[in-house]
Amino acid sequence: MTSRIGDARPAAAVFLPRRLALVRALAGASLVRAVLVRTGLFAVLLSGAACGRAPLPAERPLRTKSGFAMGTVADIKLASADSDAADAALEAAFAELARIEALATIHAPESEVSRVNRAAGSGEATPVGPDLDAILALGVKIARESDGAFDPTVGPLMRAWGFPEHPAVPAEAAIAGAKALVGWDRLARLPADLAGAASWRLADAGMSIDLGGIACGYGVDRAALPLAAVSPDFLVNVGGDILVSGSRPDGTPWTVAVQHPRDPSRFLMTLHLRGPAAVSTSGDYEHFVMQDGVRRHHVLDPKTGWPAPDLCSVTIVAPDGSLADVASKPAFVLGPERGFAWVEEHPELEGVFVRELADGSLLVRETSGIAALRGGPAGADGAAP
Amino acid sequence: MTTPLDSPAAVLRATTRADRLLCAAILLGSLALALGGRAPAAPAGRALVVVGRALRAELPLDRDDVRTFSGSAGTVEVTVRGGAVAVTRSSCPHQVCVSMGWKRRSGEVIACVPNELLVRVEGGAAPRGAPGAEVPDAVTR
Repeated sequence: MTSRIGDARPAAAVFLPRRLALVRALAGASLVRAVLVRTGLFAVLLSGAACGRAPLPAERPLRTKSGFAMGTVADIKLASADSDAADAALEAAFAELARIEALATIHAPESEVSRVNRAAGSGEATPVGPDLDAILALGVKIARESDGAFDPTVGPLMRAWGFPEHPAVPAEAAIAGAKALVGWDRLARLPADLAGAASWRLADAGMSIDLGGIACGYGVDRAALPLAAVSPDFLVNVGGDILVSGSRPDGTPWTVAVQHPRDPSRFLMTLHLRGPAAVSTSGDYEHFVMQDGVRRHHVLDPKTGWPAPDLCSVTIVAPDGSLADVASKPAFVLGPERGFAWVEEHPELEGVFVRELADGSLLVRETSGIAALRGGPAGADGAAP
Repeated sequence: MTTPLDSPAAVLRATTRADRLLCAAILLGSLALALGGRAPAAPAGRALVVVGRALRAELPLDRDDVRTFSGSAGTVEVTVRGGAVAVTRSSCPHQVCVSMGWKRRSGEVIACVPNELLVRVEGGAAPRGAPGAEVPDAVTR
């Protein structure tokens, strides 16, 4: 079958210029028209396939850097179109983590906190920089608010138990002796001197500050500063202390999974977060020693000198890394009822409390704001501890 | 006046050389746009092994392999099998690195803190946080 131009010529074809005679001619040739239609369609499809493919977030690719920092593994992601600026910001973030670690570690004799510890009982106050001042001030504040369930002077107890490197259950006398040297109310801040430096003093010889429950979160907050100068969208993860800002490059919330406390291959739930928001977890499964079938872990109750017995993990969501990190400790130590109530008293906090029953099953209890963040499976059993 | 175009020869007679060149250019352009715009084939993933601050090995994930590295606290065995990488043996006390299992997604990390050894996947399966990826951006523990 053949067709002729003009038999049913589209109106537009009348105005085709002579230069496009091929198109006009082919429009009337059935065989070639079919070819043209197919080829044209093919061309359009090809063009469409090329131009209309799913948009990649390539405009602001996710730059990632991992490494060791603050005694653990740090992983930082930053969405930015400027790869040079992003790489520089990632380097600066890791440098900031190293700086905070250097001043807050008890393993370096010349760190700021070691100098405060060394002067314990001497009556002398030790000048500190603004970072350690801020860390200690927050630690004392949370210690006061939690009635000592968190205590930045827990150093003697941690040493008695050998956490984190060589945990072992100490003798009762050793626990009692160490416990006598723990007391946040014997850690005093002296006002800043003319140079602007505050000083801190431990009242009794043998007392020592241990910032393991707070410094990491503070480091996360500090590492965020150079990242924020480059992009509003980033994630800082230092050993599970996590701060998110903005969203992922594709605009969806960041996803932070909560480790299952008894199965490292599983997650308890996944939280979907738009920053700024921070998440930290205290658990009985990271550092522990088994004694007669009882798990003796590193989240110590400063008042008893023993590991807090009732929970296996507490996850806190807070506006910043420092608060999330430090708040997870008293919440864990205070336990499923008082700890839960303590978190609920703080409107800026949300929490997930996990308790293991005798049969090995888990009971999960969440504060009211968690449901809006939770994207994964519901808490193991959903019942209150 | 119109011309029947029921054969390729008739088409050729009815068109100028410029018409034919224009048509060929359109077709070639479309083809080039389609092929050029297509995402390049994903390269085979690899596992970077860093000890301290030094890159010690790049292990292709498409080649099964078992390697042992010396760290600051002993030795760590890294195994590549079936497109994934894992720490399968370590001298560290808590065996956290061994329990981290197999990793195959770009950006995933296995760390042995006592040995200061880090294994990082690059260019493997879709990274954490990519659309459709099931793994989270981070894990709190």
